[in-house]
Amino acid sequence: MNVGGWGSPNDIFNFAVYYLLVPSIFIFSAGATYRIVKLIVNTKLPRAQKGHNGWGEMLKGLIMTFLRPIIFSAKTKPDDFIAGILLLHLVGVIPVLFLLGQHISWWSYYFPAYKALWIFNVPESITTSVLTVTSNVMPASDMSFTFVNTIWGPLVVILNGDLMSLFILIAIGYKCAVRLTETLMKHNHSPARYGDYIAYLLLFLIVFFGYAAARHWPSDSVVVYRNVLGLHVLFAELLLMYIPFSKYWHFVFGYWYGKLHEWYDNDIKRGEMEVEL
Amino acid sequence: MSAMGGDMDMSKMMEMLASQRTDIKTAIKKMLKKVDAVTIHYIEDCLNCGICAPSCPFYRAGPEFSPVNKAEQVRKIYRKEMTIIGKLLGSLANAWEPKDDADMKKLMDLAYACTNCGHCYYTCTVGIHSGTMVGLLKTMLTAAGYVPTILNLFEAIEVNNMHMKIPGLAKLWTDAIAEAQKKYGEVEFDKRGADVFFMGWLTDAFMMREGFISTIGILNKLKELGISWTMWKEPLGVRAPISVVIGRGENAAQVVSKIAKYIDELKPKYVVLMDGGFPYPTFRFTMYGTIVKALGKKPEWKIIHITELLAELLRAGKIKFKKTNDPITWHDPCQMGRHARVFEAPRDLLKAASVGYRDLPHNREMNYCCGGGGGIGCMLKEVRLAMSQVVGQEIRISPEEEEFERRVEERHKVAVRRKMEDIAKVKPKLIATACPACVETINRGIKWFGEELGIADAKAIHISEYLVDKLEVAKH
Repeated sequence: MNVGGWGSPNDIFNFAVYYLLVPSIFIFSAGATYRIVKLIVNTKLPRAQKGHNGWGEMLKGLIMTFLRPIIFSAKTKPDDFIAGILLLHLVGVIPVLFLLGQHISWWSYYFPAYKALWIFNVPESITTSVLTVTSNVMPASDMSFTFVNTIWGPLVVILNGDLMSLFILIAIGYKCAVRLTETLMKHNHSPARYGDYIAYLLLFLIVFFGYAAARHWPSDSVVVYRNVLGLHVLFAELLLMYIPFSKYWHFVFGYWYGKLHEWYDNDIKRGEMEVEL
Repeated sequence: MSAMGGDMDMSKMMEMLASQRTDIKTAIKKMLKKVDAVTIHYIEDCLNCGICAPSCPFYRAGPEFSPVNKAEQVRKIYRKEMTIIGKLLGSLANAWEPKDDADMKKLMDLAYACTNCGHCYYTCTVGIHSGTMVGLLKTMLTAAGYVPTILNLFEAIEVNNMHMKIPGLAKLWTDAIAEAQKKYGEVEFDKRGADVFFMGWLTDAFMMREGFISTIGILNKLKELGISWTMWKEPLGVRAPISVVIGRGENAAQVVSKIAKYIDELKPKYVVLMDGGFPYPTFRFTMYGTIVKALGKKPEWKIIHITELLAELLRAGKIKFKKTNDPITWHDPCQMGRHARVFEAPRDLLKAASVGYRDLPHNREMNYCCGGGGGIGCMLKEVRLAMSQVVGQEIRISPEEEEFERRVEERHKVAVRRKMEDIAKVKPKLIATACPACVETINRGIKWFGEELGIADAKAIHISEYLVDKLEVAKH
């Protein structure tokens, strides 16, 4: 499908951006609809003798519902916390996907209101980050956006595309290595699912080619650049299509549904009774 | 007439139980019929992160007992039966289903290494209740006849309302009631229109005998406040509904409906339990819909725990306690704690009764399970032998089941030890709680590990036992 009627699939970039985007959104939407409809169709509303909970308790419950597993993981499995939660999620995929300068541009192109997040943008490379700290150079030309002068200040030494991409790659490598070792030694505390490796591989490829494209690696040639960037986009689209059929669904729906259900179940439905005698 | 009483002897009972079996395929279908939107989330949204693992009391017994591994068995069956990719790719899509006796026995080992304590629910990154998943697994196993004999037997006794026909069991109840009346005064049975209906189980009378007698004592003292109460002369359950422990929902519904109708006839304002184990959240939450269906309306009575009643009276200044300095702690029963979120009421009472009250290091949502719930505490050889004496007939099991019983006990010990280590950090003399499985398990743990951990002189009791003599009713 040729979006916009221009370009031809003569390189990977054109194919990914102008041909595969709409089909991938369609497959994602169809899969997501299927999963949500399946939940709605199977919904039962169990009756209960509800507890008597105050607003304050419920609010605290909501916060703790989200925080509790993170705290628990940090205390009981620090390596998993560092690799899985910290590097992969908190200073990895989440800021890279939503706050990396290039990605804010992308999001803003499709959703103009997203521009509001420019203040939180993280720069692409460690070099520009160092400049932020040492020189804090403002753009010379009259641009509509400033690229490195963001709210993060000196923190961009860590919060930059280069480092965060490396965090993600290291975290994926660690998770895969641990899982493989446990499986081979038949000492796994979580099941060996092949789908996990597909999910990790896709994410690895997206981040790897994104990093490579940003660095104009392996050469400065425009042709190579377009193909490397094209691979970044292509794998992102494959992942988009894979989301409703994989563990990545948590990111779009499963996590939010699960946590809000848990909150309702524990902090709204249950609780001590009001006794009047 | 056999020693068990009535015209039913052990062999007939076991024959009857065996006749309820179905084939594995039908059992799988029965399990999958229970899947609803929430369980679809539990099945499909697991990230396989394994963060839940350290919360499980059985995880220390081996990584295969992590909640995610146990729940995965249901996921595999679901993928095989309910997904196109699972049907097409089989094990490549991690889809599988049990086919023979050996497969089912492997699943038994996993299913009975879960107390449904709910700790993994609170620590799961996406809010998955793996205990519910293990419950589904038990539904399948039980339907196909894979169920521990002692649990199967007591379920049959309860469902067929035979417990008071077995002299040994009936005596435990009548003796405890007689002692309570001797100590704390008359009990009015089956009285209509009382404020409180005390729903005491047979297990309360023999597993927490002193607590049971003390609860009656407390309720009799509350009469001074004008609070009238009653209880059944004969309990309608051993510890109803036992069926939920082995995943036989239809029998659980039958028992709960019968009890709900009985209570509704008496028209109390509150139904008070002293048992803070599975009956409490079952009546309040998981099977409340069954109660509504059985009555054809929402009941006018409310289900509460004795600690909720007393805590409310304490807050209202209607009662107080003689203050002591006893080093006492509270062990949150998983069902009353995590599954019902009654955390503060018992603590308020214990703090009012002793300045020596201290919380355990792991408490409330993060409390360490004692390791004896989910029927596991009843599946030990010593319990089976003790119960044989009570029912007056040997509860026989096959050599293969004896081996299973031994493995359950081995893992149980590992789980209990974790709780004991937590208790040892506080070194209380008394561990108050409210669940018969917790009382038995903690006391067993003290016997096993008390000396080594320096808590040999500690004792687990029901909270009523501690409060009864300290309770003072305010004079108006």
